[in-house]
Amino acid sequence: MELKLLRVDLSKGSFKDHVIKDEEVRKWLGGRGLGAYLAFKEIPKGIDPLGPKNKIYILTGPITGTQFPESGRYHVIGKSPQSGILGDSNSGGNFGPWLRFSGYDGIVMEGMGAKPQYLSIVEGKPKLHDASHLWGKGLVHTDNKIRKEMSAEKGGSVLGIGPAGENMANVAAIMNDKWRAAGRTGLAAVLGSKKLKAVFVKGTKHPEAVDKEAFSKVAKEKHEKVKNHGVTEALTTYGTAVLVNMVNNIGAWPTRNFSAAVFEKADEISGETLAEKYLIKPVGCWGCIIKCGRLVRAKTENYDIPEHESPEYETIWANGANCGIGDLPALLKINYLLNDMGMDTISYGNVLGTAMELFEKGKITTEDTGGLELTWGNADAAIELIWRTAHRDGFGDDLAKGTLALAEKYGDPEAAITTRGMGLAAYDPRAMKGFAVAYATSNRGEGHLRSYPVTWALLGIPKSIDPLKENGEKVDLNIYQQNLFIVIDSVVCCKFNGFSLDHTDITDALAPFTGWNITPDELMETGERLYNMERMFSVREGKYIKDELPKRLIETPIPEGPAKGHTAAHADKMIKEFWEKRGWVEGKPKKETLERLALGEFTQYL
Amino acid sequence: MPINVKFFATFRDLLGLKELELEVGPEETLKLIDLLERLFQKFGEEFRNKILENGNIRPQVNIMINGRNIKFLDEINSPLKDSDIVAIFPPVAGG
Ligand code: SF4
Repeated sequence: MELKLLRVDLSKGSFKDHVIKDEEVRKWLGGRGLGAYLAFKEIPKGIDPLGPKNKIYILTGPITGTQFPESGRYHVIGKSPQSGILGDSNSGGNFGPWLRFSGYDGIVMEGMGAKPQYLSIVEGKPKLHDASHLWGKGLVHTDNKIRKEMSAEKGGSVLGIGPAGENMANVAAIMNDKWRAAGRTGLAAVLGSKKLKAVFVKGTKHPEAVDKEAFSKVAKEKHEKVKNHGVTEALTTYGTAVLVNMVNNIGAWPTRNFSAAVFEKADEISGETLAEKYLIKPVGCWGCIIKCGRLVRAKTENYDIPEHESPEYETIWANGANCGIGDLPALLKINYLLNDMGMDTISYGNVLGTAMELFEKGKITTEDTGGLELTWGNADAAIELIWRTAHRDGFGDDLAKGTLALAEKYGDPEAAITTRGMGLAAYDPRAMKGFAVAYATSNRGEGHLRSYPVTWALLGIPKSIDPLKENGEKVDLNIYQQNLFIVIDSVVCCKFNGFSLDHTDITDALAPFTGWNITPDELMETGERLYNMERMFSVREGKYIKDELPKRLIETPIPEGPAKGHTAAHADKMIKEFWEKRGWVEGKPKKETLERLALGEFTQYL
Repeated sequence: MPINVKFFATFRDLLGLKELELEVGPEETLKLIDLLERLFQKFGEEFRNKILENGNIRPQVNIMINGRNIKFLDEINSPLKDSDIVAIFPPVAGG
């Protein structure tokens, strides 16, 4: 099987096709894996992420947009302005499949445009359009307007950036279909630097399996497996925010910038409350039967929020518990505005939580904030600062740079709860010990969906392990999931398949689709290869090679709740065990590890 | 102080309530299974079947006593005392 990429040179306004041959696809798959490989080869060491030499890879994978369950996703890769190392992010909605239907499996954005433009690909024909009239506009307007201009009331899909990306905020997100985000690592700012406002894709070229009949049969079987799995019902009924109460209940919900781990208002902002008060209906990405998205509408005394796709678990946490905000309509408003401005909801919550802590400590004052009282729980300030951040106006410029830069500027770097410069997510590794490894060893930093200790701590997948226990089995499971999840991100389907399906199910589908005689072991070895190769970007860059957790989590015990007294002091031991098991030294793959994984060409960078 | 029982996700819809309190006599020693039996009597067979399978808690149902999963305590024989908080979750997924 081959993958066809469109290379867009924005400096020259020219196009070139690039076909990835079968052999390379088998080695790097597609999506995140292929993107990391191309980025390594094509983005020179040490370049400015916002300069002309950075590239953005928007890629699908072999099974994107097919009958395989939950295959409506795509992946974005490039050098991150937020971390300075390889950045990547995944998104759902409809864009991935429509990109394939348009005749291309991926797009590479190169160079820098002199003026705002948007790209369209319709039935295999790429075209650049002037986007001056869209520059400065939010995503809702941009999506509507481009659809009008492309005469596409139905079908097709729009990916774009908002003012946050245009103004090159590190916390900007690439959005598609208005409400879906490739949010983390700030790659929207790179598109902003290239003056690429949006991409519209449409077409009728459906990806075809080598053995159509066999693939179709496997895909149907896997659909049944997903449908009949216990967790599917909960995701459909309550969305991802169904986890709010559960994680809070075990005392692992980071609260007020990780100063506590139980949020007193969790139930008020939970998936249950969302469903009871504001849900119109569950909605899903292209072809999805789980439908974990929520279409919501809220009209309250304080807020009138139009129909949109509601905040996910992570968004509710980052802007809710993490900032002490327990008001669900306010969180809907925050989510709506962040989406429209094109900002990563997690990164915004991260930086706002840090700013609030510094304000409470007196290190940031109203003189810095332009008069805003950044006290815990101040939803009005959170809302007001969204526009200012997207436009880098006043204090918004500090927030736009992200958590670490903010904490450093105001003289308290330890208030940035980050790994590899990326703000952490909605699980406290002091109370869910497996997350210590997940966060510390994630190649892009942060890493709540690079491996997912929730599966064994709460869902019993593959088995139940006490979240408070420190043991080596969690290291093994993290490694297994890191390898599996990079495969999922590279064949490009949804990780929520990972609750009901495993690597053997993916192999079952990949074999008839691609015509490869592939085994589950080969697939997992491919995952291991990709994970090692991805790490080599940091190694060559000489940045964030060592895996480590923020000091606060290692030294400061959780003050209350079921995990009271626990720290993440165990991280050091588990990370060493992780290196040993991966065949790494101090975060670097050993020469023999790279050679074993057919990565000999990378050994020169060790 | 009574035992506080909290229900989550689909259990809230099934039972039509979020929480209830169960009085325990001062001399009474209660295990989780005793409490569950009281709940089954009150809410009926459907609830029982959603919680138990062959006399054990279904694999993806989570029950926490004061935030600690009974899987890591004494399962259905975990002891309960006054003012304990018991949280009962149907299968949930992730984010
Ligand atoms: S499970 Fe949710 S995120 Fe995954 S494809 Fe379906 S709707 Fe999208």
